[in-house]
Amino acid sequence: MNSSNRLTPILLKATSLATILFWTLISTEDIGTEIYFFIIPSIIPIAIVCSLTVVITIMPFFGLEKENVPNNKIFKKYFPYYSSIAFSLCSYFIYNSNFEKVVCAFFITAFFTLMQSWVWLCKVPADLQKKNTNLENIRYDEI
Amino acid sequence: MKNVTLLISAVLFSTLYYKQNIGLNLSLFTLLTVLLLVLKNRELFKNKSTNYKIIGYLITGTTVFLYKSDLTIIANIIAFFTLIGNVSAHKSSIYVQWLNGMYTAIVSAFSLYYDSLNTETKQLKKVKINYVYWLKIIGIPATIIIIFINLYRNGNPMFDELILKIDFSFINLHWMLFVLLGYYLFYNITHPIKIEPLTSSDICTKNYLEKDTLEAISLLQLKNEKQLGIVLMLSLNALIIFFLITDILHLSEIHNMLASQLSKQVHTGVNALIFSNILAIAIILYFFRGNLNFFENNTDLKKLTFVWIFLNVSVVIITAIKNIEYIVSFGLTYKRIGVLFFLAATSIGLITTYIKVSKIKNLWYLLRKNTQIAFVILLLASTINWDKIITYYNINTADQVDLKYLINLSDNNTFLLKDYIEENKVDTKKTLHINRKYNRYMTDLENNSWQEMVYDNLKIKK
Repeated sequence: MNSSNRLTPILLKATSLATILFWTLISTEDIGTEIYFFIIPSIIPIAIVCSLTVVITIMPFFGLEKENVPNNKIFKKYFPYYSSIAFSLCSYFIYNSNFEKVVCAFFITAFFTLMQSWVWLCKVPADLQKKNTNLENIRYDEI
Repeated sequence: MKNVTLLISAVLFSTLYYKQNIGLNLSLFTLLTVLLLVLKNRELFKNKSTNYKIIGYLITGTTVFLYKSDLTIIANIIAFFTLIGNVSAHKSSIYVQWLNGMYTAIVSAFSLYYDSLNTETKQLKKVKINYVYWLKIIGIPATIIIIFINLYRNGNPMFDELILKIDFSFINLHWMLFVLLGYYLFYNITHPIKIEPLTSSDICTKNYLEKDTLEAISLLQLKNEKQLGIVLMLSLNALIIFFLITDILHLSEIHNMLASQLSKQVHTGVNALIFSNILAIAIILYFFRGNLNFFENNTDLKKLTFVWIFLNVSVVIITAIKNIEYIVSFGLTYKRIGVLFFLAATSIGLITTYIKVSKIKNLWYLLRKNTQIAFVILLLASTINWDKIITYYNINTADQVDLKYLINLSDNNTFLLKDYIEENKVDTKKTLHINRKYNRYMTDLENNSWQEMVYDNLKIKK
């Protein structure tokens, strides 16, 4: 199942999620109000970082498998290890920064955005889901 | 009901951790996790291995309160992942439990959400959630209660005063996010998941070698391999005996050595031991990887292997003697204790290798047993207040006291050092450092909130 067809909307969704998460976490800190003027311009670097991370760290898993391997199989096969490694790396950087607030916000955002991106990328589109269910029903009736 | 329990736990999580350092909160979190897991699944108590994991986890939780250190915190986190992984699949190996525990604790919600997205029936169920109903159930009573509270406040000055006293200032967006994080964490741990196919294949893999599953090999090849093994083991045994004799002779000179010489001896000895043991186990595993285990004429090779294992254990004992001698003369340090732990682990590794060969077990058996033992050693090590023991031993028994080293240890030895400078003559610079350490620790203890409390807080209150 080709997830790259749906990549652009997913990257847009991931960028939106990352922006909201990052600014929600940052807004709780004691920083000046003038920083809020950076919310809109910040979307550009967030989009670049988000897209690069998704394309470089998640998309290769889809390339590793043959074309007809369903997305849910790819999810089950790689997501557990990916999430564990991502969590370990994020925790390491947070710990190394001595729990610096901005670093915490960055890596918490990165972790949750990446996990949600996996779900979006591997989600089987509704029409395909229906088709699969119908096919299964037909097979079942034949038996 | 399930959601209410999770919500209460999440609020407790935020109360315990929001803007707090580690202390009593981690111990209470440990207790809360166990309670929640048992509430969710009462069958848990019926499983022996889960009970052991619960006990281990509770012990690490208690040690964090008694003498907080990096080791106790790390042991607590590892015990947490082990317990969660055990709840996911209690029959799996401990390293698979670590992976399952971590996977469950960090992303169970995402995995379950993904499954629900791809199941049509569940999607239909989702649509059926009646938001208007929930808005009515929560919104209407809340609005009416607020109206009545305001009415009563106007009617009764005492009630008004009481309401004004309730301080909700701690509730802010950050606190709410902590609640959300707590809810996410508790949701994850109460919904255990497994990594597949890893877990099922691990459960299916037995601990022993099966003759039928091995690749067929000719008798000549087997004989050649056995011969090679015998020659190699014979030469290795001869070499290690020669090494042992020289080492034992060398032991008698140990008392006359300078500190630097002894230190060099112990460190090079340990390094050599690491390599020789890894190599020893690798060679044994190579020869006893398959068919040779079932070869009828393998008794000689087996005997030579057992002798080699025994001789390797002897090398471990001699290195341990050197290390103990070093400790007696120059005191305890973390490095020297670490060497003792390493030697203990090496001996256990050699013993499990002996069992593997004698009982025809496979590589998985070795991996399983050794990781299990390493986990138990970690738990046991975390139950000891090392900083206090090191300080107590060095100031009371060791021939030389390195106060600079003791001052740089964690706060667990502060009271001992303070007593030491009060009872002994110590140079001014070091007394100053110890007093500074003591004053800083006392300030920290006094400033500790109830969440950050440690056992030393109770001592200073007396």
